[in-house]
Amino acid sequence: MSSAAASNSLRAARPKREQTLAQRSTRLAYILLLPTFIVLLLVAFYPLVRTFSASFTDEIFAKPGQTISNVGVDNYRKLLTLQLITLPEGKTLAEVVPKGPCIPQTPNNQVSRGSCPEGQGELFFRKVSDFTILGTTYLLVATDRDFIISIGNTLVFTVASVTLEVLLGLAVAMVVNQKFRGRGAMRAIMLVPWAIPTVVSAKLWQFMLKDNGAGLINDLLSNKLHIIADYQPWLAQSSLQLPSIIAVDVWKTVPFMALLLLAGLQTIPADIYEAADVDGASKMQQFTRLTLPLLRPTILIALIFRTLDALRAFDVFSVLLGRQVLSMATFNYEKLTQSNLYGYASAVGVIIFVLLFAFTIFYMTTFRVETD
Amino acid sequence: MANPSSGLYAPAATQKTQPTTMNRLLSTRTLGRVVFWVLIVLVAVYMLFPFIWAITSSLKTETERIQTPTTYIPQNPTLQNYGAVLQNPKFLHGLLNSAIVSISVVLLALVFGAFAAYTLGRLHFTGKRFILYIILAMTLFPQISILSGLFAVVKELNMYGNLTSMIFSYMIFTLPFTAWVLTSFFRTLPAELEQAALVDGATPIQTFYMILLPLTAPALVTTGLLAFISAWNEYLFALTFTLTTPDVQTVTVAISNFTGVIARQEPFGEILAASVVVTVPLIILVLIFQRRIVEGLTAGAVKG
Repeated sequence: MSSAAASNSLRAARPKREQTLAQRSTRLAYILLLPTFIVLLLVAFYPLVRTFSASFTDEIFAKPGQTISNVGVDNYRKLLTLQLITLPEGKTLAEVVPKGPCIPQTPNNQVSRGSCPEGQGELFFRKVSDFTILGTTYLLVATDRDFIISIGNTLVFTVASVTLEVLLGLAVAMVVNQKFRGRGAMRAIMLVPWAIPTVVSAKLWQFMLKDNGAGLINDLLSNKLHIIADYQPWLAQSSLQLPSIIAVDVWKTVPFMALLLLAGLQTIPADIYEAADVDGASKMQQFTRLTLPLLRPTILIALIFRTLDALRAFDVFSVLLGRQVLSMATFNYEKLTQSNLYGYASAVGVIIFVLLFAFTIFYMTTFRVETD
Repeated sequence: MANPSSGLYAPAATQKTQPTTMNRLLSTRTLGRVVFWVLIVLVAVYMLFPFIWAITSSLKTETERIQTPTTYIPQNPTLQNYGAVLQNPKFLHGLLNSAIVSISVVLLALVFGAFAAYTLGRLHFTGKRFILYIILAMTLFPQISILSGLFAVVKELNMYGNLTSMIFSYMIFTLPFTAWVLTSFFRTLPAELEQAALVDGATPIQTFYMILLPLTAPALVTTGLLAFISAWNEYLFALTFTLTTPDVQTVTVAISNFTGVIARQEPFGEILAASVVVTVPLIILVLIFQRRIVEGLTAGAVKG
């Protein structure tokens, strides 16, 4: 409809039209970006702002008619206050645990007074862990021990699973990178664990990790391979819980890792290996001097993706360990949906956000330095 | 053997020992081959056994499944569990809910994502670089950290307890992903196409949906499939936003708190049958689009 008018004015107003073309392009760009912009604003930025502002209050979730008080950084203080104390010989825990910080009592936040002044309540320290170095017993105490423990669990889970996934993924990628018949089928097989929903794979493993001989893992390790003497309660015994879910996560993610690394391996030209062969480099030297340095960018990207995933792990923890062993994500979920502590859970969310942000920045700056 | 090149350099004395070296070389090569295939089989078994175990165990009777030590081949295979699962209204509802949610999410994420990707991949305007960085950062956004704020927003928008809560919230991980991956595909298209269309008098919008969009169809399929899988597999939001309304729960939530019809305690037979039913379509899709998926995954990750 406007094409006739446009062609009429084309000759007359050429310089002006040239100018508006760029402007129109910019306007079109913003119109096309508008839906994405609005959606992301509503689904990410606005909730982020809400979470952030709620983290400074004592708001209870979905409680009509409540008095919401501004509590400053008290949620963060309660979540993050921890102390390392020594336990002198002959003393008991109760005798040495220091007094916790005082925070204001509010209608929603009924902290018992303890030794605090009127109108304030005391946070109590509880033991997170103890260890002995050179005959001295140290105690780590925190005002929210469950949160500190959940951070510890998440970090152990992340470091162990990501390390294993990179190593195993690299090994699998090296094997599958060889030319052999059935390589396409092998790649298809590698997509199976990745495609299975995490909840479903967690359920499958829960079944295989049963504590008696009906569990496949117990039967394999005990009766077939004779690696362990007795059946183990993999998901019930505290020393086996984290290793078990690390194994589950590794199974689920090694194939994905291997596929990423395989794509990286295939960008390495074959002739540099031929040149290395001619120069008499051993296979081991080729691996450490050629493959690893050239694969470094791919490994780093895979590391970023996997670390961020592992730090926010929810599904495996929730399905396999429930409330017995918490990750940061399941702790946040429990505080929000079970205890209805909206303000407190929001502070947990902000802490997770900051932590993941720091990890991303750390990796990204490292990555940029590497590729320069 | 009349190998001129080896004869040229080999001294006469080594002529006798050559066959044994050849043998040794040959046998190390076959040994290498054997080790290699053992490794391949080990890797394949490692990746497949939980799923195969789920299939065989889902075919066992209740008594055989709790028998210790366990059996490896079902003695009296039965489809009882599948029958029970396919009559379980919670599971069937879950399947339907998951399908509605995932398909809606994919369509929305593809439409909005394609608009954004065309803009970011083909148009020139101020602030483009900044927006690209925002989108990339969004693909790494930690959903869990805004769970409480999002819960409040979902309640305010009256989405709590119905499927829109999930369609809405899943945008947070699908839209940045589709926008980012499609942008990289749009970039690879030759600029001549647009110039030719422009010369022919097409507007940028016409160029977009008549020329460029059909060319990105393969990329749309791949990206859509990956978005579908991530929506189908989602658990945290589905669990949180349907806590008190079981009839809108997706299938992942349904499986995670399955209460069985046949078994008294943990209805693992039905859970396993349900798991197989939920996973088989995904595996079929993955096998069909195998090559494309690998490309899409690595485009999203490696080019990042």
